[in-house]
Amino acid sequence: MSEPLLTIRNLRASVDDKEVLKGIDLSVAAGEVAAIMGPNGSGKSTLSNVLAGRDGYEVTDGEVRYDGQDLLAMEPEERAATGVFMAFQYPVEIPGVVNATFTRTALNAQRKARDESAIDAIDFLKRARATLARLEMDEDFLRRDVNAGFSGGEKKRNEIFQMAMLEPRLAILDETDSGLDIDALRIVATGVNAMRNPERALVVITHYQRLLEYVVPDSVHVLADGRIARSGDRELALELERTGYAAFQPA
Amino acid sequence: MTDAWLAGQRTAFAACRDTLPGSGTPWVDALRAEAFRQFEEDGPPTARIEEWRSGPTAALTGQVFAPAAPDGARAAAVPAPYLEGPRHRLVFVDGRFSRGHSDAGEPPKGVRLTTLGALLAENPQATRDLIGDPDAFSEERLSRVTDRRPQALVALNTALASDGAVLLIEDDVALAHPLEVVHVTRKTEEPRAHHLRTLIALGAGARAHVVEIHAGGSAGVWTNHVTDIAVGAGARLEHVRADAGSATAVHVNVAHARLRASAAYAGFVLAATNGAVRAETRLALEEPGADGEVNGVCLAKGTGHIDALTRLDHHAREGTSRQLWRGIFADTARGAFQGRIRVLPDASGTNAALDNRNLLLNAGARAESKPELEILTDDVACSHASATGELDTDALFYLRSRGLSEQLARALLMEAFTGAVADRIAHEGVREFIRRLVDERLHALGSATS
Repeated sequence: MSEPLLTIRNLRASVDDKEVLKGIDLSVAAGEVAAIMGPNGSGKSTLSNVLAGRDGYEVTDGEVRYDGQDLLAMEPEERAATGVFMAFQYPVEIPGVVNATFTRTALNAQRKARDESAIDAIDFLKRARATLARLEMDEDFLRRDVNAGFSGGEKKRNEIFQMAMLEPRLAILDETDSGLDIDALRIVATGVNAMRNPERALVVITHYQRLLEYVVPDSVHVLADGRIARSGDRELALELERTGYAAFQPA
Repeated sequence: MTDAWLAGQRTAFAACRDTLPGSGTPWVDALRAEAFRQFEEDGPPTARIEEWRSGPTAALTGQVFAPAAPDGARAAAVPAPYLEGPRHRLVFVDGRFSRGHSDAGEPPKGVRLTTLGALLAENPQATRDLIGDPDAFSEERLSRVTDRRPQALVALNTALASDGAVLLIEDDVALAHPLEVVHVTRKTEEPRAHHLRTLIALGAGARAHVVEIHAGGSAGVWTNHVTDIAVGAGARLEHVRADAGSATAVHVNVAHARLRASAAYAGFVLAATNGAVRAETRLALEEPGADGEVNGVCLAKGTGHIDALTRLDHHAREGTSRQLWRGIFADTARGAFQGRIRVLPDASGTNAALDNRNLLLNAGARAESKPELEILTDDVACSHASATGELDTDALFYLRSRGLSEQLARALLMEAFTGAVADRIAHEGVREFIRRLVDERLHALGSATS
């Protein structure tokens, strides 16, 4: 296997001077689906926020390499343009900005940053419609304001829609399964699975095992108290389902 | 400074009163003299007057502006028409009609489209009925609204008005295409004032869309613009006022409208400046079932100062009114919004709403919001909301995480913030023009900051 697409080495990060990530080591190869599981407070959301580049997280040590680049040195929009996508646990409502405009603006901003030509409105619409159909989403989604008044499930599906439109090389799904009923979970999982290909890596961050029944991971990593406590294959997720996180909790 | 400022206005009035439109017509001379006396009695606006508490009084009285003399040369850079598609266009340069730049087109039968100067020259009596009664002068007559608080600048405007657009529409006649009125002021060596008076009167059931555009002045120019409006029973006027230039001057813009039964006035104000703007809108919903809408977008940067004031008086039953205002202030700019809804004892069944929100882009920017409800009867539904804050950091991060640059993300959020206001403009061509103008101004604002 060549160099992993994502390599995290000894990553330490603090929030409000409290160390939350205490030396994370993890690598994910292109084509791989990696699941990061862990109990509440283990550092899952801090990890995803640090990877996305949100303010308020101080990296005190370690590094994150993505496709040979120093990910942590990049602005959030640079990370996006170079192919990193974050599906947020809590997608933001933006009243007044129409979903179609937003998605096309994002797509073309990324393309411009990569010196690619802009996608015109007609081609965009064609692709958007096909993607919506695949995700069993109404075309009305395009005309609505970004996430405004969306149900929890609609917000998550909108994240998957954006991911499908933006075609990232590394997608991080932060608790995408939370708040979804079984039908929505199935649709979201179908959308995620459709993204799997040998060029792309997916990192699925979750508390529960149930999304992994649909999106079968190649590797499973248990995050506990700011470190990867154990790594394994799909069997590890099933084991956690039986035993819970008790073994990984601080005594 | 106030004494010198008043003395300057006296000198100016003495110097130009004989050259103003209607001069030599006894009632006009008497009206102007009486108006000037009223102005002297009221004195220039100061922060001690409640309605001017947040007003640009320092910018206004900090220098003595002399009225611009009539100028035959009239060489001016006049912008191309703003509205696409068919329209009527009147252009005023330095406060006086410029025939060469105008294109009044052919208004339909029953529509009189002219200027204050022409109307006074041709039929002083008709104008008298529109403007006021010199024998029983009162500020109420002057502004043609039942609003008696001191309005010195309206009085000064009546004394010194050099010209303005006049639109008179007979009953049941619609002006199909919008009227575009453009005011251009030229660069000046010494401080100059331009006093403009627009008259709009719609008969019962008439329809019109009017856009008044100030194409921008230069430092040292004060425009004092008053628009008198009468909307007849069941008539509908859409009235848009906009600053389309980089005004570094002082701009005072006052609209007074009287609404008869089931009349509708839909107003929109765009104030965008790094200078000083005072925008007033006073509506009197005088008869049952009238509908007033006054919306605005205020954008200021640098040391800009925008003071927006609305007064909506519901006099009669079953009236409705809506106000939607959005302000964005950058650098050390200041914004103030005073919005009053007054429901008088006879106005049961009134439904009135006011919503003002402001965004501050920098720590040095400030915004004040002062909604006032004065309700003198039961059986009304009135609501008001106001909030001032910064751009939503979560939304900014969300947009950036999708690849939008910080600048683009900010611009998109600011567009969303103001877009809902511009969307309320009914005439499609006017709405598109205003949206473009707002976007342009937002870009200027975005590049001024961060």
